Amino acid sequence: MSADIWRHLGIPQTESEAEVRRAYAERLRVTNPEDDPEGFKRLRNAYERALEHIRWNARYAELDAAGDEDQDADGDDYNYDYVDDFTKPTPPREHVRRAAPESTAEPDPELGQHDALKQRLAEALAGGKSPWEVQAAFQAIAASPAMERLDVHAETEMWIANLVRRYSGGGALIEHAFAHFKWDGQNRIGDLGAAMVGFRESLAHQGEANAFIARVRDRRHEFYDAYKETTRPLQQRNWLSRVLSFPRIYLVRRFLDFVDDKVPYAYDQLDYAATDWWRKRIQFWLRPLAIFAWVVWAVVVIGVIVLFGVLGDNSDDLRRAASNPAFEARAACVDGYWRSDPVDCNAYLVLVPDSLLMRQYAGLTALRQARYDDASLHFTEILRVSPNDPEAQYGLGLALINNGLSSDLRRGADLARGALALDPDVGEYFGSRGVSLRPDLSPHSASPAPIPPIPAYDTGPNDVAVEGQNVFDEAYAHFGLSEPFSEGRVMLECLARTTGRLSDCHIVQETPRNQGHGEVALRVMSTATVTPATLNGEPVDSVPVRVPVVFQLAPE
Amino acid sequence: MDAALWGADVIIGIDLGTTNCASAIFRNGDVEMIPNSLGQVLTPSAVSLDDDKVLTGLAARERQSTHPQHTVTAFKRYMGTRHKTQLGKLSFSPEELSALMLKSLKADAEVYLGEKVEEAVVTVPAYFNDRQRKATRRAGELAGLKVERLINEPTAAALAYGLHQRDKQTKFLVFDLGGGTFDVSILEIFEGVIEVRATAGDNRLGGEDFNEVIIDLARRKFESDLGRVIKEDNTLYQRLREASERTRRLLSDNASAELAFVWKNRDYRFDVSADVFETECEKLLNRLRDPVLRSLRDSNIVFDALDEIILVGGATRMPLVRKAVTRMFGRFPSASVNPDEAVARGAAVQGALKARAADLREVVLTDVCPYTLGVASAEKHAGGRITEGLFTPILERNCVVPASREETFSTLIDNQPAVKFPIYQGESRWVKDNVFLGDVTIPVPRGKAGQTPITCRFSYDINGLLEVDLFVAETGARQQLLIVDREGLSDAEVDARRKELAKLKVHPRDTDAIRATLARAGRCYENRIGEQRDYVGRLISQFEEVLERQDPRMCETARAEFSQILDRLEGETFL
Repeated sequence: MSADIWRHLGIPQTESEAEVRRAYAERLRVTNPEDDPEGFKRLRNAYERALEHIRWNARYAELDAAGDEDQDADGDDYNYDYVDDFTKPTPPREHVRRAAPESTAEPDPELGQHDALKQRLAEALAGGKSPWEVQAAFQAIAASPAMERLDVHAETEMWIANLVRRYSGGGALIEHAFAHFKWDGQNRIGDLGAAMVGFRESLAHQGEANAFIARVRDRRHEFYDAYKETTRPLQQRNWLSRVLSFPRIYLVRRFLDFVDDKVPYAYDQLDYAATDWWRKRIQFWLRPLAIFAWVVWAVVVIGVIVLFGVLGDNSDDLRRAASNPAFEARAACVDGYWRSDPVDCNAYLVLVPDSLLMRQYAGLTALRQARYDDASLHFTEILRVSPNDPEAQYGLGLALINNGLSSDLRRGADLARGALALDPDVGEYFGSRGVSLRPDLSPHSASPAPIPPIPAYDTGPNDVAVEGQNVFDEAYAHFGLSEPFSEGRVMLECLARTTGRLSDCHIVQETPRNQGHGEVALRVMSTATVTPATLNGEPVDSVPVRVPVVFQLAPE
Repeated sequence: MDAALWGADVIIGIDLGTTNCASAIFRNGDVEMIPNSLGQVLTPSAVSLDDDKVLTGLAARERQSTHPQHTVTAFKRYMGTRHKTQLGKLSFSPEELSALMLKSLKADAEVYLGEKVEEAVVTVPAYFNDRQRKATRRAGELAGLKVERLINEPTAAALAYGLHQRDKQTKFLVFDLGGGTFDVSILEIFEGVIEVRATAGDNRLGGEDFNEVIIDLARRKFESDLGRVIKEDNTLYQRLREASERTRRLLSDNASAELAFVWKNRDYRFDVSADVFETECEKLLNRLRDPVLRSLRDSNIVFDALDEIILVGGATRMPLVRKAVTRMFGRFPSASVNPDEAVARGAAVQGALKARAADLREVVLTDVCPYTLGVASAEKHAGGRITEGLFTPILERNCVVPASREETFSTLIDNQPAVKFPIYQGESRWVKDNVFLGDVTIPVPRGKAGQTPITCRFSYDINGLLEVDLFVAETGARQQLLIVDREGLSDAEVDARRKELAKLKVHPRDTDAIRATLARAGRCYENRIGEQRDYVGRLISQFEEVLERQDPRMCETARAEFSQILDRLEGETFL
């Protein structure tokens, strides 16, 4: 492939850029982009790769030559300059930036001021000043007049990128720098933009991982034991403790899977050797165990199927029916029902009292035979089990209307009307079952009295409590807020659930606004407990409750 | 040489600008600008309807403030959108308006050259995206011109500049701030090769935005009277735009200039000082810096290695732009090119190169593709979460065209039946912020996720056409997509539209000068009050009396006199 490059260029391999460029220009007259696009693509590719190759070699030669004399001279202060300019044979190592053209000798006041501003930002970061001060220092640099010069701009951008990297985000500096230099917008491509986007992402993952580990460190977290297991150095454990930790294998596996999936950066905070040992152990034990469990399960399933097959072979339905009196009774009930014989289903219902269908049949038969008391008994029984059954309601309604008691007329009509509202076809159903009765539902009956409002609960939800001392600290850590947080008040509205938790929280009021109090409060509420509201001693679900959260500065 | 054969070979270069157009031709070893019917090199980009007759150029622009409902300017800003402009009873798309402009330029060139012109090289801002380029090409079709090539404006300017520099070895930056668009290109000339190293820009920044600044000043000044009206009333807005353009031009030479306009028989005027104007333009000037930095970074050229900064485009005449450039680079820009003509000249050179003009020594020009092209992709995270709508670049911006690049993708989920490749153009990490070009789907064999490699090959040709090839090695399936215009019309529709445009009557060319003067006088009349208005009115009726006599020579003398008087009244006409 490498030989191809030189063949396309039509020259022998060389280390001179000028020669390559000359050859390229010469070939270009024959293979120009207008007439021979494919040839041009090949030529261009060869040209670019030849240049790359030459520069690469030159760079290595230069690094070798520079050697060890100034290895740590610029330390972490990489100087990614816009490297190129092959007209100058030597790279711009001792390259002195040209100042503004009119003032080469005396120091430029604009540059001096710019440097002072840079100094201030560096000090603010080194001194761990608050994000606001860092932001102010950064904005001052961004607005300084020297930034209008392209060379100063490029240099400062690089300097700030290095600063961000050195102070791992530098408080809020990274966000301001991203917004100002548009590293994730149009400047995404190019070394600096891409590197900074990558850096910001890794920073975010790091933050997530730290918050996760901080949560897990709490003794009450479900992964607490797994965390302890994977952070304890192997040298500190004797053989007994290794054996005794075996029951935790499932927990550790869940923990490691979780870390793999959600917070891979958390591995940095685990003990490498211990994690590795646990992994091997999981590999070794859990796979055979899983296979064994599957085999057992399969054997049981197959055994049950075979057993049924064997039993099915030497028995026939008739004998089974004869041996089961309930079967016979049910057949008799159905039979009698369809023949409209006055056969009672009671025998069956005595045997199987909870068969709703047979009870309905019994009720229908009773209705047909005008035994309204029996019918109402049956349907009441069905309604006890299934209160919204429209057929049972309708049947009971018919029974009550027709049993001759005027006191039951109103209730019967209400029931029938309710049933028709639930299922309008219920009348046809009864008709097709041979019940020719129709309830008289003319609206002369007075409309029912308005139902007084029922209180949703007697005692409202109360005793909202937060578990643990450090939930607020975790919330701060999660949102990246520093510990000395400002004062404020937040009013939240949540639903108190019977599980003793709050759900569906939202901010009603927040002072001061948009400084993070609201988010912190919301996050904390997701772990808070509450005593749910009660009605007649029974807990009631989803009762809205307002929770005030007050942030106070700790007294010194 | 056979005249007919030569005639078929004429390719003119056209600079289709936001405020002004120009055309040029390369012949007899040099570039000649083609004058229009008024004898001027620049033709304002304006179209006006006068009793169903089409006016273009200066005559149309003078009618802008008097007949705002029938006149349109700066329509290039809407290129590539579905925006419709209502002129009287007719409605035009931006490409149709551009076609009318191209038609008049073509007519001018035919008169000047004395032969039929059918082919042209048209320039577009380098940062025009695919849709805008397609619309420009369509405008050429509608005007009955074969658009041989669309060439980027800064590249054209560089070609005009580089033609005389081709023996040198030099690197330079072209800073092109036109009426509506801003482009930066970095070029290098070596061994007779003109190579574009990088291009960047902002296709919504230009002289018009600076006019808006002055209009905004006026709005704040007369907040109580006009504050609301300016936004709502098109007539007033057009009048203000015209006045602010005049003020802006005056500010180029003076420390302060007057903005004067008449509205509802009231005279409004106030002084704008250059300093105030500069502070107000701060934001716009800041927007100039980003593309410059980006192009420098992309071109891998050290800032100090640039030999020259070349300013192109009318808006670079503004002292504050020159000052900003000088500050940015710490040196003075070159003044060796005419900022108005360079682009058209370069286009003519490109046309001659295309036609293989014998007297043009071989120059090879390589250009770059200004935008990144890529596909939408999805990413699967360790936890099985899937992020969709990521943009995966395939052809990175500023690669030399023609170019092709390949990238290999794979399936995302098990037993995926097919893979869809939506193709986008832009720089954002998320495809929703980029421009959608089209999509193509290829079936893949069922299998585990990530096991089937699919090769996606992008080929970008010299005319800016993108071809996408998909290939599944496992099954040998191939799928090809040529990105053609999505909103494009079919050939029949283009023909129909062209005929409709041809039906529109155009005023005879020889009366253009008179028409322009009359339109100007009309504007002048409306812009004055009191005595001056009466004076202009008298002059108009006198001039019309002369016109009645229909003696061409007398008409011309009267016109010349009349425009001199108008010049004295309101300063010279600007282009």
